[in-house]
Amino acid sequence: MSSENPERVGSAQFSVESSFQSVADLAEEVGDFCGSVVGEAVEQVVELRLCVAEALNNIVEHAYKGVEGKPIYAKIDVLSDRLEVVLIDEGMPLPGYTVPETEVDFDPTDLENLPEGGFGWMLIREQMDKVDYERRDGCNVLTLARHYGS
Amino acid sequence: MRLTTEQDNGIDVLSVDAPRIDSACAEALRDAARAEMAHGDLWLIDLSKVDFMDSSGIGTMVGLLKWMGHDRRMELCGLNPPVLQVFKLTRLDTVFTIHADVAAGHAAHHHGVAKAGR
Repeated sequence: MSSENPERVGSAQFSVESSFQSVADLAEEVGDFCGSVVGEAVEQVVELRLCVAEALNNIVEHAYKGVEGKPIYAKIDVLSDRLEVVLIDEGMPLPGYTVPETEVDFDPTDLENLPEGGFGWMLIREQMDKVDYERRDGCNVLTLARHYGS
Repeated sequence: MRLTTEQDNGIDVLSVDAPRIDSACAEALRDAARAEMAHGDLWLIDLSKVDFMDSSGIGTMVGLLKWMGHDRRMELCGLNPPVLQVFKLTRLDTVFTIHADVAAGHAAHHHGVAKAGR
């Protein structure tokens, strides 16, 4: 797994108000920042950007129930062996105080019943090496980490 | 986001001119695409200008496919690697017909027409 003392090679903090537009922009900024440190073609940067976008969408849609103007805070650490993002919001907790174990199952030939949503957590779980959720002082604290390099 | 359409040899092409299809524009895309694709039995969706798609974008694509129904076809063209990756991770690549680019989409259907005409 991770080395014992990975060197921090870059970090950034962002704060935005909840809206689908602002979190879409934030996910791109997170990707751009990580890309600027480790290389934008690094596939784990692409994965992290998608997962950050999914997690932020969940915050706007579920934690804040679509209410705009609520605070969202993001902290990014680029370490020598991994990318780590912490997302904090003051919205509703995740049901059961845990990351949902969603499996989206469908029959590809059954057009009418194809799922149009529910993929967010599945994409996060599939791509991230670490997904950690904590309810702390009335805030949701979600940590995502992805190893990169050899 | 800008949508453009063109018709060539009985095949309609809808090009999505947007760097991202995400939660910020998914609904607008759905409404605009439905308006553009109200008629026509076969639509190729050119996504070659799209560099990023999240699950709301992919949900929009599924919604459009369902809206087209069984009698009309919608196929995807020119998926960039990060976009194709989302289709694979969600297994929705098994649902959509995906062409390397619009030219390949045209070729697939013109070949089919030629075969059927024999």
